[in-house]
Amino acid sequence: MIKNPKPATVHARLDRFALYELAVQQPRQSARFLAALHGRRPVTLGEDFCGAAAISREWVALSPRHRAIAVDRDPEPLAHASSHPRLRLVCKDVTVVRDKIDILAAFNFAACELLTRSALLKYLRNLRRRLTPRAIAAFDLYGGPTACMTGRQTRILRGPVGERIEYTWDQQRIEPFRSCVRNAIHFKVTPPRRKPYIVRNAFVYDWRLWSVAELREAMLDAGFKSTEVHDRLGAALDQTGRLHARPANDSANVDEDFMVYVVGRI
Amino acid sequence: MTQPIPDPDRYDLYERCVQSPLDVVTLLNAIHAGAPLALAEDFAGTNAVSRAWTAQSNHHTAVAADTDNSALLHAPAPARLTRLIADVTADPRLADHRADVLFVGNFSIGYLHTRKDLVAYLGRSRARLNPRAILVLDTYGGSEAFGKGSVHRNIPLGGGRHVRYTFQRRAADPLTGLVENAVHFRVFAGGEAFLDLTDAFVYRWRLWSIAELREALHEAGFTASQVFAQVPAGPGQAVPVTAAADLGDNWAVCIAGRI
Repeated sequence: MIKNPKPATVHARLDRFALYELAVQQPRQSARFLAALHGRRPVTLGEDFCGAAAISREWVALSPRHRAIAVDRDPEPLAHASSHPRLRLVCKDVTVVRDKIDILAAFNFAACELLTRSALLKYLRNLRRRLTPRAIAAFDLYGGPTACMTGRQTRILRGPVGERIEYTWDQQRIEPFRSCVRNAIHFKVTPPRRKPYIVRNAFVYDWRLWSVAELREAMLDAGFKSTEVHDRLGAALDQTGRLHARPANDSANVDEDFMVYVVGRI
Repeated sequence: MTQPIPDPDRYDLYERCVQSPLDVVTLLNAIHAGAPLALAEDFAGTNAVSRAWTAQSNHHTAVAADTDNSALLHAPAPARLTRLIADVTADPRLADHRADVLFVGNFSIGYLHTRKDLVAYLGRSRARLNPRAILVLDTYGGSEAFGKGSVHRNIPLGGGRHVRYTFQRRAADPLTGLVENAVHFRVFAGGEAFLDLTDAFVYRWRLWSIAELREALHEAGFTASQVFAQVPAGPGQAVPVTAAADLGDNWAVCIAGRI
């Protein structure tokens, strides 16, 4: 779910949701990765805490067989998801959704929206009931030394008409007593030949920073048969262009500051 | 003629370099805030805290348990100290010794590698406690906790000797939450090293976070938990730490569960 304590100024060209997709998400790679993780012929993707449902939109675009159910309790980002006949947008709490799915994706550290282990387990148990035989569920997590410290990281990227976009990831607060963090995203956009504008606190997140081990144990407690960790969105393409995913079994392959995908199988 | 000073062994050096049993006893009394008499020390090693506990008065008793009999029996047992060579996660004899304070120090809770084992141990521990008793354990964390590195300290031993103590964070696996740490000692006399105890102790721990331990305590039936600095503020004083700024980027804390 995407939170915004103070709605950002809407500007003519790029709103905060568009900026978010440009700067943060890799929806096409994510959709292909999810298909590779499943490994068979999955049809229905569930995207929980979906925001503007970017992965769901790419999923239905990947194949005419594909359908998606994107869930978020915040109507504002859902309103930014373009409609599609095979994409269903659901404005609900993710713990009350019952629709069956072959793949669940909760990316952009969405599991961290659940602040206690009991809330995490409640969500995972409901999710487990939604999964069809041989389904998978995938979450992303970050961690490492930098995750335990306040600080900012900035990247520069280009927008669709040549805007210079300065994206800042701002770790504002670390709270070890509950393993909670407050992070924010800021943007500074400079359109060609125009004055820059700033979208400060475009998104603000109050998260529980789950460790990989915690999430894996909670998934097993919720009824998943096995879990695995992937350190990238797919390992290799074969000669037909099909993506293959291989778990990072050895932590030596994982950077000290890491972002990984935790995958549960039933 | 002076007697030669006997060479210290790894347990002597550990107690000298790592432990502060009097501070721990002060802290445990302050956290309990009553008049606790019966201590249980699990994963007790050389049971330094138990020995300091029983020295408080003729009414103080302690039960120290560990699977390692060489550590457990290293020092002579004072009166009112019971030593049990026991697996603290399973030994039924522990239930015969009700405690006012159960202490698990030196990050030993990390010997429990899965949450299932952790909650089961805490549940069994809770059943060993008297009314108004506390369970106190410690953990560490922060930005360096899952990185490799070493810290060194030089500690005088008397008689012109000193020991260089090294705590090495040797390996860490963020995918499983397991770390491997080692303690090394190098003893010098007159500037010359004469005893080298590399890998004197090697630990393979699950590095539990504060939040994980507090949630596990709650699940095991403890009604409240608090976080304290490892060193007491003073006799009778134990002020819970509640502000992240008081911990800093790297920290070690005690967590107390109340029933």
